[in-house]
Parts: sequence; C-alpha cells; structure tokens
Amino acid sequence: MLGRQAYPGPTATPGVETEGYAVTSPNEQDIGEQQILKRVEEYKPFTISIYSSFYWTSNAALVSRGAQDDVFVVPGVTLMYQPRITKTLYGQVGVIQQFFLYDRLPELNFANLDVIAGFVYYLPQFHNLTLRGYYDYNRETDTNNFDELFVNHSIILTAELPFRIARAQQLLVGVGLNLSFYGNPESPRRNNYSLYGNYDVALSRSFSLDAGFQFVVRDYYSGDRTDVNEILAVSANYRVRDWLTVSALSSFAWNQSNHSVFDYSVANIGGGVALTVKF
Amino acid sequence: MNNLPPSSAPRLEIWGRGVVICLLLAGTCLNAAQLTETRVTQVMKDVKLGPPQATPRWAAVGDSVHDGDAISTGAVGRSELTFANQTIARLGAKTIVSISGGTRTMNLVEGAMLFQIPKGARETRIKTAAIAAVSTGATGIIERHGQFYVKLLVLEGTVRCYLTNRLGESLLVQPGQILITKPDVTALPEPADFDIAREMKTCLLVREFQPLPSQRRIESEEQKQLNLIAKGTYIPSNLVILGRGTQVTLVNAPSTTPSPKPLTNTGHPSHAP
Repeated sequence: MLGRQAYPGPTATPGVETEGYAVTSPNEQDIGEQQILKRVEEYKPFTISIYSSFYWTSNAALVSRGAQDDVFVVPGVTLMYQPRITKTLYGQVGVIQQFFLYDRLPELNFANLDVIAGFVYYLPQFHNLTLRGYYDYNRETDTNNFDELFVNHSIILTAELPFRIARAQQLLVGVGLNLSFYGNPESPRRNNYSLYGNYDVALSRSFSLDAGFQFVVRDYYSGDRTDVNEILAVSANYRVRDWLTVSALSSFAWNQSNHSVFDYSVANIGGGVALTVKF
Repeated sequence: MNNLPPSSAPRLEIWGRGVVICLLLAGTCLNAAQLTETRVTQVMKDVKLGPPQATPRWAAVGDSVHDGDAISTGAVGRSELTFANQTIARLGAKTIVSISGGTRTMNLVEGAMLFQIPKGARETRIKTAAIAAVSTGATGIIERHGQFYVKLLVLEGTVRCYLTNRLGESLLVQPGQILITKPDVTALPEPADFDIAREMKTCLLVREFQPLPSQRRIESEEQKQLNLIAKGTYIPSNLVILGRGTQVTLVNAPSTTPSPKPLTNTGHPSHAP
C-alpha cells in the first residue's frame, strides 16, 4: 500500500544536504507526496501528409540565359510507414507524389513520384548520429497523360549529426550519397554527393524559423558533365494546430557546370500549407 | 406611492438612477483598488514581512505587500498572498519570497510555494536562481533548497519554464508533470509525471487553506490522468517523493522486504537516514 508507513521519518536536521540531495525535514509534508507515474509512449508508425506550396520563381526553366519568371504551385501527398524494429532501428517505407504546375509556362509541368524503402538507425552513443539507407524509385511524368519522362532507381545513404544548442535551437549537419544504378533516359542520370546543414529555432510553442543549406556535386553518367549546386533555404513556420502548419518559404539556388550552358541561378519565394496526421 | 406629489415620481427615478450609477462607480473604484495591491490574505504562526533593508515586522492579514518587499515564514509558519491580478501564492514553512517587477514577479529565495495564476491573467513570473516559470493561467508548486535543487510541479494549466541566462532553453511543463533540476543548471531536463490526485490529497498548502479557485480545473486534470491510467498510457510506479526534497522512496514493496529503502532520484540507494 502506498502510504506513510514507508516514510523514513523526519530524522535529519532541516537544511542539511547529503550527497547533493536534500534530506527530510519536519515540514516536508507541506507540499504533499509526489507519486511518479510511468508514461508508456504510444508509437505511431504511420504518417500522412497533404500539402501545397506556391512560389514565384525568377527562373522557371533553370536556364543560363533568357530566364523567365513564373508562378508555380506544388501540391503533394506523402504516405510514410516507419515501423519500430528495435529501440534504435526503424524501417521506412513511403510514397511521395508531387505535381509541379506552372502558370505561364505550362509546358514545364511535371509530376514526380518517389517510392522509398529502407532503414533508419539512431546511435545515441554518438551524439544521436542518424544513419539512413534506402532504395528510391523515382518516376517523372507529364501531368496530362502521366507519360513517363524519366525513371531512376537509386540507393540513398545519409548520415546526420544533430547539435542541440538549447532546447529551442538545433543545428544539424549531414552528408548524403545518392547513387543511381539505373536511369532512363540516360542523360539526366547522375550520382549526387551532398553536404547539408540546417538550423532551426522555435521562437514560441507555435512559431519556428528554419534555415538550411545544401552543397551538392552532381556527377552525370552521360558525357563528362559535372555540376556543383548550392541551395540556401529559409522558412518561417506557424503551427496552427498539431496537424496544420502554414509556412512562408524561400530558396535560392546556384548551379555551376563544366558545361556553361547548364549554369543558372534561381530564387523562389512563396508559402505553403501542410496537413499532417500520425497514427 | 399614491400620496406623493405628482412631481416626486420622476425625481425618485432620477435618484434611483443616480444611486445605481454611484454603486457602479464605487464597484469600479473598489475593483481598481483590488487590482493595484498585493495583500497578505492568510497568516499561520510566524510570518514576517518587510523590505529587505529594514527589520521585518510580523505580518498580519490585510497587510499590503509592496514592490521590493520580502515575506518569510518560520519553521511552522505558512502564509497566503493575493496579488493584484488575483494570483494566489501560498508559502510553506521556512520559505522566503521577495516581490518585484511591479508585484508581477515572485522571487523564491528558499522554501516552497503553491501558486495559482488565474486563467487569462497577465503573465506572472516566478523566479528562482537562473530558472523562471511564467504562466497566464496555471496552478502549481515550486520548491527550492539552496544551491541543491529546484522542483516544479504543475497541477493545471501550462507553465513555461526557462533559463534566464540562456537564450532558447525553454520548455512547457504540462499538468501532471514534475521538473527537478539544479538551480545553476545550463540545460533543463525532461519533466517526469506525477499523480495529481495523490498530490492534492496530501498537500498541506491545499488542505489547510480555502479551496483554490482552480479546484475544478485541477479535478478535471485528475480525471484525465485517471482515464490515461485506465487506458494504460500511465502506469503508477511505487516511487514516491514524500514531500519536499528529491529523495525517491520505494513504497508498496513486497512484504519480504524488511523496510522501504529511500532512493536518490537516480535510482541508487540513498545513504541518508
């Protein structure tokens, strides 16, 4: 029975401290008894996210000369299943479908499908290092008849190291490999080697700011083309409900290639809304 | 009324309206007076009050508490303060609290205090060492013992706890959560969970005073916890902190165990008596 018979008794002098812990005192009952409850965390492996973002872009076709600005929207849906295999090992199976729909240049419209399957492994003993390895099936189609424009099979490996600056601020650095082992047509097929970082700060329980950068070397299989790409992204996110987030989004990208025709720079500014449910 | 001259009826009506207006104005003024003063509303045994630079005097019910004043209780003393925004602070024994920031900040120097910040009130702040707890509607208990520990329990509402010397080190403590940390901490630990109903039944700062205005909200949180226990989200443990301090006592032990052994909050057997 929980009760006072277990109470060791007020035997020590008030104010005396033993090994860093306060000892009992004659008045110790005034704030009552705190029985500890053990919380059993309910893990929810399924995530459904439906979102839509819109952007003004300074260079819709990502060209080196004759850039045309446009507005485009990106509606999408993500279904993800992350079963917990062990305390630090999780499976990851997911489908991501996005549409890129342009206003004045509809000939640039395309749909992008990714199907992924792999594992996530956390190493708490190494500063919460997170390792991911998964297979990615990527298919790009047009948006009218869903005719295939490009298909790619790749293995993606990432290692991420989070640094908690304070409870509301976190810095993350990561490296990634995206190794294509089949692509059709061959010309856009490439391997990506990336270094990335992200900083986020929660200014309140609902409002957060994120800033991220990515440095990618893109090694194309066809010919001798190699691109170096830098992306800087900044966003402000307001969580209206646990399941609803609205965001102001911006990103800037620069691409340098050993074939100058592929050089470009682009700025995208816009906003988005996302509905996310876990179960 | 029929005996009154015909002109008296409108005059009475005017007087009546005047009285109503005066009563309303008086009520408003009285309310304004309540909103500008912090008062001692309960005194049990030895309680002293006064500015820190002067010799403290014995406190009495109705005494005004001003910015910069400190109130202290003796070994068997307890007291209650009611603030301008109707925040209630109940001081346990051997407790020292000073008031600052236009009486919207309580500085807990030593001891234990129950606080009840009315829902929708302007943000009220409780400071102790480098730790601050703020809320616009919550009931909880905060305790500090020298440089050894700070303990915060939330009974209802949400309290934001943060470090005053470290930007971004902030967390929300929800009903039924207990946070124990060192006063000179540089990173706040994760809170644990405690049984609100047991706390309310055994807390003398609740039992020996008038019912709290937030009593119904606390009972609602107790009910939520009971539902979560029934659902299996919470499992009651046999670890209890019996009052002040951080010593965790193993209770409900098997009968073969000679006597329950106090544990430290790291789970190791304590060497304390």
